[in-house]
Amino acid sequence: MFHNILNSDGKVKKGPKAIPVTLSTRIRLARNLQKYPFPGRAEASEKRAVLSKCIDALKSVKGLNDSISVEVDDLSELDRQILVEQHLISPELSQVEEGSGIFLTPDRSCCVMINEEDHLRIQVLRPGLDFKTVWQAADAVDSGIESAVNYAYDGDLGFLTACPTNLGTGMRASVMMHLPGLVMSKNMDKVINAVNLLGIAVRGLFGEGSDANGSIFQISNQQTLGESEGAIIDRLNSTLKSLVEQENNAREKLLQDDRAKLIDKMSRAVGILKTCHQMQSSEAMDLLSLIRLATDFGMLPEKFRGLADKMFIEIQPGHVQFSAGKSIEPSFRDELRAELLRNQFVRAPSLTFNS
Amino acid sequence: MDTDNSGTAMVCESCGTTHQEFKKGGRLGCEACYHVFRPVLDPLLDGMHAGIKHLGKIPSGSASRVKFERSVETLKTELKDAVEKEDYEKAALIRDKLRELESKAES
Repeated sequence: MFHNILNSDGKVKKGPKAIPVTLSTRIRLARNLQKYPFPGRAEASEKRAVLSKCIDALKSVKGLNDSISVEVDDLSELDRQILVEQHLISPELSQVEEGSGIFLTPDRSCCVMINEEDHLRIQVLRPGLDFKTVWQAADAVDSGIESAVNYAYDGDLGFLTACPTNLGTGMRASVMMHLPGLVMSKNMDKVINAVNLLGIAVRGLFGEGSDANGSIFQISNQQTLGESEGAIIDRLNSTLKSLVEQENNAREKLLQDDRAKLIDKMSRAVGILKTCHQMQSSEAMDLLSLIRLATDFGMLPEKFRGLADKMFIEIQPGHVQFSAGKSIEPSFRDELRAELLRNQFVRAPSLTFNS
Repeated sequence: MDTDNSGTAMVCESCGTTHQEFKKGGRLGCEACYHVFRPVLDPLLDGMHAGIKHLGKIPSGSASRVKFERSVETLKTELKDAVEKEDYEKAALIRDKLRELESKAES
């Protein structure tokens, strides 16, 4: 049942088309129930009680009745890894011992983690850049849950969370950005320092402390208290706008100053993806990043942007392992990854450009 | 022993989280911790966030809940007063009202 949801694309609604620079938008709301200690301090029996209360509340929310819920305990290591790679659950939740759960809509646009650091982590995600839709959806799920349970809430401090860094709105709004121009022009450190000063955090692909791979970064608000959700999103949005501009400028400059070198890199990426027989995930991420960049330059057909985004996830170790259908050695995993990529890129054209 | 200004150890009676644990792990244990550790929390929040007052979403159930909690509080004060004045007739009436409110809250 769970595998069906994880792997069938059938129910995933055709989302907005993949666009340059911004891969996806996400909002996460942290909530806790009244009267129960936060998960980090709760006994197993208390966590169980919270889990069943939360699942019941979620099932009562309009539009979520065909979702599935599962206890993390009941999932294999591989299932958990796949969920982490799809950015549906955090690495932290995948490591919990008992009494934690996942509530997931069939289209995977909403995934609620139960008994992670807080009782509830409501997450809504969508491709592209679209905070309005994502906020409306998250807000509706939150209000729906709230009509069935009492949240730990304080008039001055807002929603109470296990970590004071999430206090107030409990909201983390983020976008996944593809910033190869800033990385290649060695401007990324400067940019990270500048946005940090604005209360905006930059993390790697898989959240806290992870290395940025394929020049993909998660940009999010750091502060959750003292501003409304709308004000936080507006501030984040204006930073994002400026980041997109800086990225585009960096790309243009690279294309002007280092044209041959850049085109060589992107052309080689196509060549390697068509012909490889062994591929580690970090190399694959970098090559796919170049494919996405070439598509943004108009040097590859539009469909390769969406393909790159799909493969960013499917070349992750858990996904490759799953596609094998059995347990495989890491060395064979690299062969299988190469085969997956080759199959997708075998008919990829050479780059087209005006010289 | 970790102590606050008044010299007593700071610990949340509700969940057992100590000030030491909070300082080390940065996590609070339950909603009551926010009252217990408020004196050490406020300066932290000031540096951490854009402000120290929540300006975001208010849960819709919270308005009636706050009202309920306030009436319970008021009644409890009145009850204490009545008992102190040995007005047991009034105290009994207040106790009934409290029970009624609490049973409503249960359902």
